[in-house]
Amino acid sequence: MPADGLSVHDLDGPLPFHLLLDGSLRIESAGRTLCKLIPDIETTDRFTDHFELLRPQVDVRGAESIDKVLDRLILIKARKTDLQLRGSFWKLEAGGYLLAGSPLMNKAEDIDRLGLLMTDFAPHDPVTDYLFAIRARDVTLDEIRTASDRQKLLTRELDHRVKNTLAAVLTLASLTSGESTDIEQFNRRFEGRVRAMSTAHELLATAGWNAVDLENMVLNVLGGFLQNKTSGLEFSGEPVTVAPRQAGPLAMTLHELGMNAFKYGPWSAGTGMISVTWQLHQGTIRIDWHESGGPPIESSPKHGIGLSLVSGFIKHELHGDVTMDFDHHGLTAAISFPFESATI
Amino acid sequence: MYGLINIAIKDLVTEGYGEETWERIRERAGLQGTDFIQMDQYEDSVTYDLVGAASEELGIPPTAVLEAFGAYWTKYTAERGYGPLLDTAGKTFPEFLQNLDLMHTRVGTMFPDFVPPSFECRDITDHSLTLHYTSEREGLQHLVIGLLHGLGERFGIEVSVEVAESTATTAVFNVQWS
Repeated sequence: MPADGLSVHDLDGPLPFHLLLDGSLRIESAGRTLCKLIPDIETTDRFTDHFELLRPQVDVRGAESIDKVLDRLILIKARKTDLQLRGSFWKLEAGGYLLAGSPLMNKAEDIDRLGLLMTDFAPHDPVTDYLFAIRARDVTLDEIRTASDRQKLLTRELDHRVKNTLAAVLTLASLTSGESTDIEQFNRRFEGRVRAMSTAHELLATAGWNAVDLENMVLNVLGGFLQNKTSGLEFSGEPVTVAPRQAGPLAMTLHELGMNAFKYGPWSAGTGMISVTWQLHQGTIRIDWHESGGPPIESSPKHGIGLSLVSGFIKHELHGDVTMDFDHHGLTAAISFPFESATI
Repeated sequence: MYGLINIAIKDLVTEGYGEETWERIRERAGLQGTDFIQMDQYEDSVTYDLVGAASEELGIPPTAVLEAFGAYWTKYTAERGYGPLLDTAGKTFPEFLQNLDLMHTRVGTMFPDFVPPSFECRDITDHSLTLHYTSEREGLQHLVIGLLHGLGERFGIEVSVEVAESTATTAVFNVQWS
């Protein structure tokens, strides 16, 4: 009896892994969960029949061995299984010793491996909390590794894009130079094209290099031509995003169409209208561009560099299709290209 | 709520309806980026907005979205590395339910900002019990219904759930299993 009015069974709830030993180190009682793990424990068995003391390294020969490790953190191992308990020995006033401890575990799987549930531990025992925390740490580490890999990929991608962008700037400079009659015209056209690239970059940066909202792009790229006027542009469509890789070519496409409208189409007269609508259907983004109210067009104009660029961006960069038809009212273009997920 | 919840909603949508649908839901919810961190805290409104946007985009009631999410949650957390923790809560459906509160309490002690719901099992028989649910968050009863069905799937049994009582933050479920 460990204390007046307290039976050995009372220890089972708060100490399900306990061992109660008499003065000669024979087992008087063992906790319910310890008995589950070592079913052949019998009262009157010797402590050393079932356990050895790993730390501190003391050869347990009698009560004096236990006296040496009283109140210290000890580690014992079951002789017939790989179970280890950490805890401490306490000397009882009524004689004998109480070993209070918990299994040594490093991962949550150990609980299941031993055939235990969280209810086999005392509610206050932090072992399961510790294993929960270890698991949370492992999950977080995996997440950090994934994020780190993504960061490396992002850096490589960024490097790739900077090189591509610089190459594109050089090409645009050359093309713009070829179509310009004087330096002022070159400056104006070249600046417009670089601004469109810059807009795509800003939208991407704002989106954290994730997908870019198509409506935002239309508004930002084409809005510049209208100089804060609210008329002249109608746009509508369901929420659709374009992948980071697609953002640049699509922004340039919209810019070239806008520039064409500004030079020759509805925006040149200041009274016309451009309608831009889009939809996502079966994995394809379709954008319809429709001009009206501009100067009358007598015959299909020859495609200049701007509209040739549009075809190039759609076909070669976006792997899509574009049709451009001019009628008396202006240009009608149908652009389609595959939807791509936001991941880089 | 923890980021893991929002990541699970994203994965549920993309697995079931594809990346395009998720992008539309994300847009509709007004979220720019969705690189959630599992163990980080986010405003509850982010989760509620995602559920609302999913409901509108998929044309199903928010309660159906919550049920689908609840059913997905058990499987999802098991696959996301928390399976061994779930194993410690019970080897059978009723055993698991009776330890559901303990498990949430343990998770709650690990994460000080986590405000877990509370569960109590009463009237336990071989094939039924009543589950008393209390939360500080409103309107998540249908998530619990889905969760119960997901647990039934985990243990390979048919589960039926009936709402006996319900308020904004509490509910009593009559749970039966075969």
